[in-house]
Amino acid sequence: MARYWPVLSASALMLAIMWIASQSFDPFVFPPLPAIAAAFWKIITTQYDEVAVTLLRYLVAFAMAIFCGWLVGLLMGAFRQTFGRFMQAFISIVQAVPALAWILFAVLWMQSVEARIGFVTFIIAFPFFVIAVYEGVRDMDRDILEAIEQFRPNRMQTLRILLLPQSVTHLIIAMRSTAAMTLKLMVLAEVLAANNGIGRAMATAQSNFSIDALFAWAFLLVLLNFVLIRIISQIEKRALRWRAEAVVR
Amino acid sequence: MTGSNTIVDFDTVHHAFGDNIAIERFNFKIHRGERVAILGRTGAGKSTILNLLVGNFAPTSGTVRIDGIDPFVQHKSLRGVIGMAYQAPRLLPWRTAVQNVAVGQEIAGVAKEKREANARLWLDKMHLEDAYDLVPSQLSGGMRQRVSLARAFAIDPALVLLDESFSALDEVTARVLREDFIKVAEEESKTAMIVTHNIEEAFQMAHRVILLGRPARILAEYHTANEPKVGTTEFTVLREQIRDLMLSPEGGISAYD
Repeated sequence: MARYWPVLSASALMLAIMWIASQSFDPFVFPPLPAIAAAFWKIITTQYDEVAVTLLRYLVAFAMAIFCGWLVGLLMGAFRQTFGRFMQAFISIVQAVPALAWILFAVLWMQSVEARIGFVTFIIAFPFFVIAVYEGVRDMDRDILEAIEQFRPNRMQTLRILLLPQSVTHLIIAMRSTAAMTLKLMVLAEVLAANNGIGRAMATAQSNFSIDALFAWAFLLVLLNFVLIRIISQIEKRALRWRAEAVVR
Repeated sequence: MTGSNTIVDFDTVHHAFGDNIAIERFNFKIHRGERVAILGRTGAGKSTILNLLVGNFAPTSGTVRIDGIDPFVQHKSLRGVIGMAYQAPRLLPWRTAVQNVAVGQEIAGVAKEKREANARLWLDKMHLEDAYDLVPSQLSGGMRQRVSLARAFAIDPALVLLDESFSALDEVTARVLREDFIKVAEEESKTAMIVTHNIEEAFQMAHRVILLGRPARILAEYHTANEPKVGTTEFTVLREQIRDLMLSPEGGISAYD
């Protein structure tokens, strides 16, 4: 129980603020908590397909961004002076384009909703993985590299024994910092460029003035974020269990 | 392996970095089964000798051979010939002790079961029976260095190179590790080159001690069997003589002074 007190107390504070707000404003501005709870129940019992669509889109696009980011980051590390330098400049330009601009481009360029949302999600997450893996390879401990090179490995062995495990570390750390942000931007993309999914359902709730449903969807997104972070933390815990934890006393 | 009795052969080796001479007309051999310590101050060219030995660069003139192989020209041929332990253990942090020790044989293409059995054997010899599945962050400094030594031995190399391998440890741990190293090296009849700046360590571990001046050239050579034992009053006198020699004009100055 002691482990959960920060989450429980923060949740209690949030509910208290919402309750005070619901008492202070009209229901169409801030609905009462029971109305939000009822809307939430309706979502999970009747609109779960919208949630499933969003999650599926997210998983596919995010997995592709991880895989492609890993591959490109490794190639950048292997050919640092040529491909590495070129891609670094290229990725900086891609990252400088606002997410909203990518969403609008996707609407203009692509007819398929899945392609649009997939593209936007991919283009947002991909650069983070590329840079994380590239920096992981670049920051490889020279002493360890030298210690392994004394055994005269070939390039593939160096890649398998040293670079892949090193890059996985950076990949997982990037996953943790990117996952929640990507999900939020993907839902925004659904608001503007999809005909189903959580984002579309939120847009519909907003145009129907269903403020309780809007709150319920937001609450669901908060829950999904927590679950996502929890899953990634578990992956991190298992995959990076060799790392010593530093404790500040 | 050539089967020759000479494992390390430096023949009139000269090496310079621009105008700085690092090694000057260096002649030196290590025979099979021998343990030789290279003793010298900072800047005496010990690292340059090691770099030449592992083929990181070629000498400006002269020849270097390890078991008949030119380490620079025949770089890949040295696979499995040298096992090296450094000042820091330099272990792969995500691998267990067994996986770290097995890495040399993994690169040599030995099957997983065989190389891991061999790794466990070497960890046993280094008194790490209980640490097979621990990762470096779970080991003490001394245990990590033991894993590093086991890794160097596990490939059954013609030459074991120690580069200041005990200098980062406390004296008690270092002493125990030195004794264990000597025991294993004798049991396995291993040829070893020990690079150190520690006079006691050199005389405790080696059959022969080469004292380097700066730039690297042989100032004196000692056969430890003919010298006083470490810890005796006579050894203290010898140690002072060696220190005086290192600090004398004969010991030379380097660009770092």
